[in-house]
Amino acid sequence: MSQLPITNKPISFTNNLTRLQLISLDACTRCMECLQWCPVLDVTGDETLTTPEKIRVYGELVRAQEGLRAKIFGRPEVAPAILEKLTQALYTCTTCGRCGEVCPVGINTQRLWPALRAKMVELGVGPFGAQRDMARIVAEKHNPYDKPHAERFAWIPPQVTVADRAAIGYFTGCSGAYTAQPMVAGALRVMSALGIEFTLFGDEWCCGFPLFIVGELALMQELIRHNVDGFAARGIKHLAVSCPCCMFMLQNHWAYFYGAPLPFDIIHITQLVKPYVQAGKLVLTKPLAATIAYHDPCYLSRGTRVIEEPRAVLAQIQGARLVELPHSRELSRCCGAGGGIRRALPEVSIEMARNLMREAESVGAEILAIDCPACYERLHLAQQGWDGKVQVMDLMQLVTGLL
Amino acid sequence: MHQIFQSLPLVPASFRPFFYGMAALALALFALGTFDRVWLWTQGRDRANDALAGARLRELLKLSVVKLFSRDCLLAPRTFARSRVRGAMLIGIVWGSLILFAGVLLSALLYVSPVAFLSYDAARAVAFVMDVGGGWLLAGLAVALARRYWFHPARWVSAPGDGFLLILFTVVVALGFLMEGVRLAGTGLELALWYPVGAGTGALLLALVGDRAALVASYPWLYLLHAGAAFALIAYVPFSRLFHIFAAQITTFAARSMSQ
Repeated sequence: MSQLPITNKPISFTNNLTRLQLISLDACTRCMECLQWCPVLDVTGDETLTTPEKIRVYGELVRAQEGLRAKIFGRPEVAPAILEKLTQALYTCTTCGRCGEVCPVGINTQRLWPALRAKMVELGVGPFGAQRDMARIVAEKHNPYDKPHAERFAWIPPQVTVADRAAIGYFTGCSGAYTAQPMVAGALRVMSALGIEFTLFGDEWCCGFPLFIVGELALMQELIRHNVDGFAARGIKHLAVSCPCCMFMLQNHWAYFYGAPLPFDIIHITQLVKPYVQAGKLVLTKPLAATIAYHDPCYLSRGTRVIEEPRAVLAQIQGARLVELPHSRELSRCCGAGGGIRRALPEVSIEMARNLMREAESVGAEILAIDCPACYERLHLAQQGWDGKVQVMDLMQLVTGLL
Repeated sequence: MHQIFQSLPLVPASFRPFFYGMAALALALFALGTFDRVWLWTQGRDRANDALAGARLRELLKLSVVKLFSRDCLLAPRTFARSRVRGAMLIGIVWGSLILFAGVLLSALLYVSPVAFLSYDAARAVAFVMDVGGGWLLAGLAVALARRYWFHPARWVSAPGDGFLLILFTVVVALGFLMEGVRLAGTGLELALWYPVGAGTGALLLALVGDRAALVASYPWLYLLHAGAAFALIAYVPFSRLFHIFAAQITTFAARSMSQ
């Protein structure tokens, strides 16, 4: 058996993929519908880095390395150039999943890309660029932003009360804690205003998403066990979360890495608040005469299908005119913050964020309401040196200002 | 009755060993390639909350065939949701292929069966359906070719083999109609109403060539060409991206299951 030149050890190309993911590699019809929707391609213009090519090249690797011919004649060597191009393609992607949403044969790309990236890490060719430091940083600081762990909860508003134990826990997430404090502070203030008793885990660590999404899985179990056990010790029954990426991770992958069913369920902050909205308990006393467009974050709309709840909250704002973006709900345009691309290809990511803000301006929005700390960070950064007028605000930040 | 839509009886006996040899080789390659592909699918992890939880090789094979007859495949709602032209193209290819496949199976059954189990009128109806189905398939392939080579969206990426498959498939169907046209031209086109596409092709060929006897003489060779191309396509399916015919049924099923 010949060996892969980059790693010098034979590697299975199938073992970390599910059956459905392996079938997906054979299912692509190369209709090119996904290309018409790819927000990364809007910026890079390079079709060779897109979904059909990633699927084709990885599928060919699987068949060449582990198919019948390889069984009979041995595994051929993988040309380093092929792996390098595949790695570049896999990481020039925000994993926003819009390609999967429009795929006529239903390939779930949002789930497929992390699995393929994990294989690139195993092969020694991933992650990409500045993403390579992320595992070390998370291991040392428990967040991917290289910020002191002691400052994780420095933003807690003085007027909120955090219980030691409660039925509801709140998972802050690193992006909220370090780059989008108005969002998480707003979430706590809204819960307080609604009389919801909640607890925090003072030693909360990264949820694992930033590592999971770039394919670095070595730390996952440690991070997740620490968080699950920490919240479970506070007697929670529901874990509320604001960050869509955390939400996706907690809901879809925590139990797998924890090795058992979670002792609590996962709920998005807007799902927690919605019944109070319906019961008329969320009273926004101040009107806001502005045109507001809501941006559906990729991992909230496509990732976890939380679509109506944020709109229900926004609908409580008196005097506001709510408009939909040209691309919204399951087909929303990615802001460029996801998939580790911020770190690896910051210029691409910034231009994607500006494309989203241009969409907001095209429908006359004065405020672009968002519900994701990564979007929050990226859009605010993209506003620097840009002459657009749209104001970017987090949903909970917006609501707390009107309480 | 066989002359209505059967073609093998019109082929000289000396051609038949070659025909059967090609068929056996194509089917063997198809089976081998399919086993290889589906066996690779089973090497993936089983996920408890996956639509395919617990599915083994046999279940995956069954699912990929059964779902060919699902609403998602036959009516292509996910494709129609994005483009009516592509939806119509896909439906033409899917329905046309299924009709021709069923017709060929029926034809083979009639050929080997000692009992003529199809009445003349029923055979005529089958011939009509196959002819129209073939025309539909050809129209779908023509749209696919046009989309690939002349009117494709600005964003497009090609890989080796992409165009070849489409061309091979079109050649198979076009040769089928040429063959049918020649056969019908040779038999006088008296059943033209029941073969609108085939008879039209026959009339065109007759007008172009003008020699009915020459057309009739070319029939066995056209038959072998058509069969050879069709067998090449069948053998090539599991070694090409055309295997999406089967894989896509499972991913579409899974997407629907998960969205519910």
